[in-house]
Amino acid sequence: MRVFTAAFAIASGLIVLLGYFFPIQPLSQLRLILTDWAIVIAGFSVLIGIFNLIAVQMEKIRTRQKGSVYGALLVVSLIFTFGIGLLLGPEDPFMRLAVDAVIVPAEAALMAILAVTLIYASIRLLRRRVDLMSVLFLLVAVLFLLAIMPTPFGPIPGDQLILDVAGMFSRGGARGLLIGIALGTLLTGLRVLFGIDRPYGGN
Amino acid sequence: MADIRCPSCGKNNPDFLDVCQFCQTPLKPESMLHIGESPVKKNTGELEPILPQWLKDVRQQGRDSAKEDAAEEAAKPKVQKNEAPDLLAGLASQARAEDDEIPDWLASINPATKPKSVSAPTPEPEKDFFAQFNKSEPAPVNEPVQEDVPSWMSDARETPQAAEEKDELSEWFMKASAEPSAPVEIESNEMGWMGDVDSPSFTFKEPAAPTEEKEDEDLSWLHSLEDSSKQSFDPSTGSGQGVAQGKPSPPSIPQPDLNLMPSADLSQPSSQQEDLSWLNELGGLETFTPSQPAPAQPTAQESIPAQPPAQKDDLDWLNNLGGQDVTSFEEKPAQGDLSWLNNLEGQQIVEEPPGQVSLYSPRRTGPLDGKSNEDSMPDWLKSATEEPSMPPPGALSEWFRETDQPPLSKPQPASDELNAFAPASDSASLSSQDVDSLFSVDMPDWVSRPESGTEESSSQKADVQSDGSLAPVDLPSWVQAMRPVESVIEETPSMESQPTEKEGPLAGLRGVIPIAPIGSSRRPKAISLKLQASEEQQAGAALLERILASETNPRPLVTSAFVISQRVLRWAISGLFIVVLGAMIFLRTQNMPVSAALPNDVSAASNAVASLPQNSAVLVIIDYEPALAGEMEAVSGPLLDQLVLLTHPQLTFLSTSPNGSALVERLLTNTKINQPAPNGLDYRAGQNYFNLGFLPGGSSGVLEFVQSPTSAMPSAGVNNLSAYVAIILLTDHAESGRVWVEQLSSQKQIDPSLSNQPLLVSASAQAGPLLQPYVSSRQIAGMVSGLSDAVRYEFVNNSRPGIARAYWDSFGVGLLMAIAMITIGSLWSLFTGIRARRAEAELG
Amino acid sequence: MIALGVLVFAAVLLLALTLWRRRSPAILRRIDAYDRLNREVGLAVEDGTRLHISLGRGNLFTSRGGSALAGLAMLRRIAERTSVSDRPPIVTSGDAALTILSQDTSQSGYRAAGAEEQFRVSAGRMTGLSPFAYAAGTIPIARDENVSANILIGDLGAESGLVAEAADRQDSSLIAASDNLSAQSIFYASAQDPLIGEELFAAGAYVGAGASHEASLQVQDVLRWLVILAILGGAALKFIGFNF
Repeated sequence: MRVFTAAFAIASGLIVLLGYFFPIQPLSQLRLILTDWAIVIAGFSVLIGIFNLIAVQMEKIRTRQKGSVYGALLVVSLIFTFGIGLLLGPEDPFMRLAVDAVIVPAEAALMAILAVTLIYASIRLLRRRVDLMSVLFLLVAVLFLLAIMPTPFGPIPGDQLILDVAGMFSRGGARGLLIGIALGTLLTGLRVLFGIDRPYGGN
Repeated sequence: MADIRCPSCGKNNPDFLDVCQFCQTPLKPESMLHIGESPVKKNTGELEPILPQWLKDVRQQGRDSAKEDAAEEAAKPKVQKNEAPDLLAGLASQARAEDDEIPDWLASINPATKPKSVSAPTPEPEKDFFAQFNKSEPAPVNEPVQEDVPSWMSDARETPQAAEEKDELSEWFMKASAEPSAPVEIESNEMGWMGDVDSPSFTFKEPAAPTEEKEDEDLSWLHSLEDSSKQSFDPSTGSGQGVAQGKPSPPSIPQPDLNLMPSADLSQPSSQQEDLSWLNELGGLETFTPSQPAPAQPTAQESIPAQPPAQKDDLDWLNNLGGQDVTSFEEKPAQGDLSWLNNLEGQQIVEEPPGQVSLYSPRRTGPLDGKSNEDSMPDWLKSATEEPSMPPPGALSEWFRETDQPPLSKPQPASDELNAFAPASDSASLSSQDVDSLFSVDMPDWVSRPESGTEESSSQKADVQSDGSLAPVDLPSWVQAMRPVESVIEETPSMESQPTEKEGPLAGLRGVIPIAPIGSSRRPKAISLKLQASEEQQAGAALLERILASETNPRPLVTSAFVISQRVLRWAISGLFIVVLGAMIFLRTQNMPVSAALPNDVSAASNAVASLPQNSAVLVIIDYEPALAGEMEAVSGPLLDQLVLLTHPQLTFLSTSPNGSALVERLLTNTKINQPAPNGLDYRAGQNYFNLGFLPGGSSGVLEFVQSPTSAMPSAGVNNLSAYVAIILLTDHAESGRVWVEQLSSQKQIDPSLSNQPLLVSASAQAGPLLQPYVSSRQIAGMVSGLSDAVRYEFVNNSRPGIARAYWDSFGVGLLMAIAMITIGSLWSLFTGIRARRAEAELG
Repeated sequence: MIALGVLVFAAVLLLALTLWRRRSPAILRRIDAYDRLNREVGLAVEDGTRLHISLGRGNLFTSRGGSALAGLAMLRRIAERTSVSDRPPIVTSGDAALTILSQDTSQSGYRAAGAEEQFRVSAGRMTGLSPFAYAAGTIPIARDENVSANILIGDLGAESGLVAEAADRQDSSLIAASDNLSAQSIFYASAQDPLIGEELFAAGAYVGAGASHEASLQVQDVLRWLVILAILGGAALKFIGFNF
């Protein structure tokens, strides 16, 4: 069974890859089919993930672990929202209300907390690690903030220069990081393509 | 019984044990003599009482044999002449320097022997005791009677004065010499009593063979004396102890000057008995009661029966010689007085306590001075005063002395000799009576008296040494190592505590076979099974045990305080932001100026929107999360507002995230696109805008949509992407923009109609910098990035919709607060961190 | 075609170096984060605490899936080493497909350790479909599940700052790596030992995933130099006026 899954995975990957490089008909057609299948499976995996989420919360409720109340609230709200969505549709104002009144504010609040968290982390950075890179990190962050900060007196002098110079280095560094990440992603894909890494249970 | 606690195992043991019966650890290590340790010098004389009985017996046998030999040799010439043996041959006066002939060999081993010159000058003993009887000068009789002590005996007690005092004995002898005396035959073995003095200071002279003249002498008086002595003899006193043992020549005893003895008419037994009862007393031996009773030693009772009856008759009186009070002739002195012997030694006589029975009585001798004394001394007495050829048994103790004393160097008192066999710690327990009891002969006090006490011994030693006495002999180390240790000997059960054997060859004896206590060293040493662990090892084991025990112990929950510095800081930051920013929003302040100059990217986007045809289809891709909806709405509002306001396009919304499709309405509502006029642009769903929903598959889905929108999204309604005049991407992360850029670039290469299709991006502040290269490369026609671009774009767009402008002041203040907090907090953290590290460094 | 050529070159080089590294293992430079990771794995087993491994919200259909696969490779080795622990590690993710893969990978690790019966499906959890929902669902795990070390490796965004904050409040160790630049900057300020850039893809090599991972690192180095040469060369040509 493991051999079959590995073979199928390898074949699928090669077909899709070659289909990108060689848009010949069989390969293109197969690529589209496999891609469609992957999309369907991915969509269906969302349901599996949701089911897994429910199972974990139910286990927590059953064993009465800490935070099981919130797990129960999650399960109840999930079932309710799912039912309403099936009945009324996603465009229903009630569903829109749920999004506008619950999801967006909650995540926005988390985002605001993240802002406070980042400020707190920046404050304690020098307490945790005192080195040149940490000081430079904080210095560049403060410069950027100064450059983009509106003032009652208008933009600060040299804000554009700061943005350009600092931006140049930051963008260049980011580009390098992204290239490295891309290379890593490439090699990781190749390992999966060759069957060296089999995250689908083949190892 | 007291218990001794073992220092090793901690168990109690009887006090009589020297080693622990459980682990064989010495209980009294300080008292043990360990291997390798050098023995301590001890005076053998002090160890005498603590010797085991078997050793004492052996030693006694040795002495006896020595005495026998000496007596045999001494008796040989005398036997030939068939003369009365010189009974007082052993009582050689040390004061008689002229007549005393101490053999060199005897003098060398007899440290107690005093040089003749040191001792008080005593008259030369008569070589022939009986010679004095031939003298016509009778000694006054009354003199000795009146006095308690004969003069000759008193003189013997005080040696320096002996020469000066008149010896009554010599007078007696002179008187008696006028009378013929019967020869008295005394066998040599009968001289054992004389030789029972374990002191090298005693020298015996070979009893001078009685001359023919002596044979002719009338010695009936001697017989009478003998008879009287028999009657007065008290077996309990143990006199004549050494006689039965047949000891050889007795040790040298200062011989009394018999010439000074009051002469007695021997032919008159009765009167002689009365007159010569003092002689009986002289022959009586003082009985000493030693501290350690030596019941095994042959007592005088035992020794006496060994004598032949006739000889007993003849010689019993001799047993009493020297120990009786001269004044009381009728008396039968219970104890002898050998103090005259002490005088010969120049020492103080140890008075015997009354009532004590001594084994022998000291013999008093007369003043050892004057030629007349010499003439008055019978030959037999003279011979008795001669030193025996054989060394006394006590001289053997010199072997046990550590130091070798030169002969005649420093004669020591006989008590020193005795002390060689007496325990040092027990010296005080040995009195003169105890010493006398050990011997069966009439021993002078100075012979029988032990060196009791350190003071007395030291004083005696000092006196002796000053007089040239013998120094204690040092035992060889190997002998001393063999010697039983004092503490062991002390702990050995005493003779009295040991039971008397009731059967067998040892019947009646006591202490022959020493009792081995339980747990003695004779038992095989048991190996302790107890693990010998050091303290460090025990501490390590205890620590390991605690660690193992702590594994099962519940650990207390670590709970942190509700109010800590970290939480306070977070609350403070949050509170400041909420209060300040909330107030500004509530107040709707718009004090912050806005620049009218648009960035290039924003200007390009604005120009691209303005160039779009009227009522065309525009694809709007919503690819941001609800968390950034506020920013994205603010950023994308001016662009969409200008697009709708200028071209009235048909908007098609597509989302590549599940939540994106739910954000379309919110976006249109907040941007007032779908608001009815006059407030909004009155766009309606299904007419003016369409929401295609979620596009799955990520990059593949995008690729598929780009290639065939209908196949990817059937509700799209278009077959080709070129149906859209523009594509507007609303994203909060660069990845999404990159995907669309990449896919569109590849598709543009295939479909040239897509070459004029602009791609406009409205990105959050975090995604804008990463998409800037695409803008620079013209892959993105225009981009509005962040609130700063949006507020300027909005300003140019107649401040429509106004979302960005509403956030601008709060945004500014918020940034200012963040900068201040980061700067001040970082500096404070730096300072506290340095201080904390310094404190840690100081603590070490 | 250039892309295909680079792809083929990388593939051939990967295969060759994999065979070579099987004979002679590579000597890797020291990375403090992975040293701490190995130590935390051992401490968790000894202390009886658990590890929390979060693979992010990377979609396998996007390029973000690469970091997710790297996280899965690391998960495979950690699951094998911690299978004998009293408390098995918890794997969280923000993608459904990634959740299924994480469960399958954990089971493979238990199987390799011979403790497949110890595996529980609940060890792999999907905590949310959106990033902040995923973060919100991950924070209770880091706080309440007796976690001694949090290992965040994969496609994580700014929301990972919340998870890092939760780990910091519990005084638990945090080892984080992401292909997202925003997350990297957040990790630099929050984590003890952040992993920057492509160090994320070295996780397999440092946990002993195999010779192929070591070979991949070497191929990356080769390709990086090629990219550098290409950039410099292209810039030079562009500078001199050569248009291509």
